[in-house]
Amino acid sequence: MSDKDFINSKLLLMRQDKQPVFDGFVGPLQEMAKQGELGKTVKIPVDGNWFTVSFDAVQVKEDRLVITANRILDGLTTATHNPAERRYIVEFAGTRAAYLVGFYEPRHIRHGWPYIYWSIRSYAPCSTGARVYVQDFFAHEEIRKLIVAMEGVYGTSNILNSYINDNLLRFQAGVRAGKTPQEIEKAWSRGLMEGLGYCHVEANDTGGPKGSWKSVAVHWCKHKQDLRG
Amino acid sequence: MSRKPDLFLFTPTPPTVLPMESAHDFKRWVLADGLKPSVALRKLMDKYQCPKMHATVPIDLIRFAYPNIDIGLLGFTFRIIDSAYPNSDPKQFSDDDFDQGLAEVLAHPLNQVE
Repeated sequence: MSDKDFINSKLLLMRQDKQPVFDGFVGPLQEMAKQGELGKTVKIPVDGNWFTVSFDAVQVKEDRLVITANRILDGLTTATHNPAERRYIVEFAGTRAAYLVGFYEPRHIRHGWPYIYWSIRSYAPCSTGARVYVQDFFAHEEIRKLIVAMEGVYGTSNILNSYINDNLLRFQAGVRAGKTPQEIEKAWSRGLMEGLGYCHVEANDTGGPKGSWKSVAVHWCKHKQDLRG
Repeated sequence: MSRKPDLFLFTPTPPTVLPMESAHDFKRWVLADGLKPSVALRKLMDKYQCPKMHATVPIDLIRFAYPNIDIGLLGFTFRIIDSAYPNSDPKQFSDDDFDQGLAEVLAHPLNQVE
C-alpha cells in the first residue's frame, strides 16, 4: 500500500467514526495525503495551542485520541541552581498534553510545615470537549510515584496544591452535584492518598477568580495537628 | 512502607543548569533596578546563554526573588509551565503570561499578610 493510500484509509476510518475530536485534525491529514508522504508531523489544535505529533503516533481509543511521545524526563532530578535540591519531573518530547513537575518547600510561609507540591497536566482538552491523552501517562500512578520519591528524599508529610478548578471535570461535576471542594478532592484521591498515609484533607476556595469558577487550594497531611482548621 | 528513593530514576543534571549568581542577578534586576520580570528573564537568558531554558528556571527565580509569597496560588506554576515558557521552545514563549501571572499572584490577598 502506498503512503497516499495508507493515509486515505486512515482518513476514511476517522470519518466513519464521526468523532468530533477529529474536526481540527482531518484537514492537516488531508494535506499529508495529497503529498503522499509518511513520517511528517501533524499539528493538532488543542486547548488553543498547537501540539505537534507524528502521524504514526496517533491512536484512536474509544472516544479518545491518544498520542505517543518519548519521556525525556522521568523521575528525580536536581534543581536549576542547587545540586542538593531535588525535583521530580515527568516530561514528554514535543507535547505538553501531559507532564508532572514536583517541588519541595522547607517551610510554608503561613503555616510553618514543610511540604511538597506539583503541577500536573494529564490530558489536553479540545474545543469540542474531547480530550487528547499521552500513552502510558496515568495521573494517579505518576502522582503516587512522585509522592513516594519526594517522601524518600525529604520525609515530608504535607502536600499542598492549588488547582484552577474549571480545568477539572471532577470539579465541574462535583460542584454541580452540590459537593464542597474538600469532598470532591477526598473522593478523587481517597484510595491513592489514604493508601500513602495522607488521611487528612482540607480544601479551600482561594477566592481567585477564573472565569465563572475560582481556584481551590488543597492540603493533604498525615498528622491531624497540621490541619489549618 | 515507602520504597527507597534510589529505586527511582534519578537524573543528576537538571534540564537547565545555572550558577547561583544568576538568581542574584534576576533578583537585583527586578527588585532594585525595577525591570519588568520578563525583561529581566530575557536579560538572564542572554547573559547565561540559555535561550531554551526549562520552565523550572522562572519558577526557581521567582521563589528566590520573592521568598515570602505562595507561588502556587492561582495556578501560577502551572501557568509558567503550560503557557509562559512551555517545552523549552522559544517559539512558544509568552512573556505576557509570565508578567500577568506574577502580578496576580503578588496581588493575591493571601500574599498580602504579614
